[in-house]
Amino acid sequence: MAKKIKEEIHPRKKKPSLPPKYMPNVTALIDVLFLLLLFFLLSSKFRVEEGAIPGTLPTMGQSIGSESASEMQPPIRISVNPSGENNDAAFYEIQGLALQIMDADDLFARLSAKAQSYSDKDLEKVPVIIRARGDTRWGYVVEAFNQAARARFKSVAFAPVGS
Amino acid sequence: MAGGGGTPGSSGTIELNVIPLVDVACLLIMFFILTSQFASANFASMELASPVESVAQKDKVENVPNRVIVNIVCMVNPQAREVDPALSLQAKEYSVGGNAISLDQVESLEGLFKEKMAEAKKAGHADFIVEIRSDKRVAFNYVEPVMIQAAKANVPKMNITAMERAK
Repeated sequence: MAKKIKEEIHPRKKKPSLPPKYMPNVTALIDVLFLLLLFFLLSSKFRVEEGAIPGTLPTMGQSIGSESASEMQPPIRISVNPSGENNDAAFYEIQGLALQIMDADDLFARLSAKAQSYSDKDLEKVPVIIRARGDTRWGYVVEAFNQAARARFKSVAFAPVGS
Repeated sequence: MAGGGGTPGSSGTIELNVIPLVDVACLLIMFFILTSQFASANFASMELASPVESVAQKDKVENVPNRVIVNIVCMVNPQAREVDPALSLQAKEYSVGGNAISLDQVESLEGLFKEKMAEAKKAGHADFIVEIRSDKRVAFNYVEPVMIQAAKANVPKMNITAMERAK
């Protein structure tokens, strides 16, 4: 009875009805997304660190050192020739040295010895010309270029094949 | 907040908001799809030269757009199990920005370099670089024409791609 009187004086407020929540089942979606992610992670190949060895190109019709011929020192010529079955190997020859260099470190040592006879400033005026036979594998030509750059020579270039 | 912790008086279940998780997962997938497309366009798959005590530096690699990378692709895929050594001396094609250029069309590179150089100059770049990225097995006969075309186009700088020194 008391309760009824209380309800008449203070009618219970009806809670406003909330709109029903629609929550789609995303479990399957997440599963597929993670599978896709896993696929791309496993199939992607991460490239190994590549670098670049800087060089310059002579302009056509201009030989190395022709612009300021009086300033340039006599060039150091390196020949790269293939050897072995299917040209799988190569040997190097430095003009003026009557020996065949088979090893990259040996090539560096001989180039370094030549570089030591010049000051740092003069090294910029000493052109190194790499003459490679056409059927030499590119890796060995790059090796010669790299060792010349490693020996601190600044002007390293390639001679045309057959020159 | 939708999907927040259980409201007072509820049964006590905690609902996780998975919407940001789905967003992030979708973004990651999009990232991998797009980067795999862009990365492969300029860098053809090949075996790069790995010189002893390499002086190749990653810092020397300039950013696009004042750089053109010419890939010289070997006839033999680097992943091939059985390799014919004589065949590996031969180049298959030149590849620039994902576009294949056949060996007999190497002279078209001069025009391409001039075009890219003009674009770089217009964009305000002082330097222009041609990067020669060749498979180490390929004969020098196939690389030299690219250098000649770059010299004809009066390209001032050239980079040779090689592996960095092992750290």
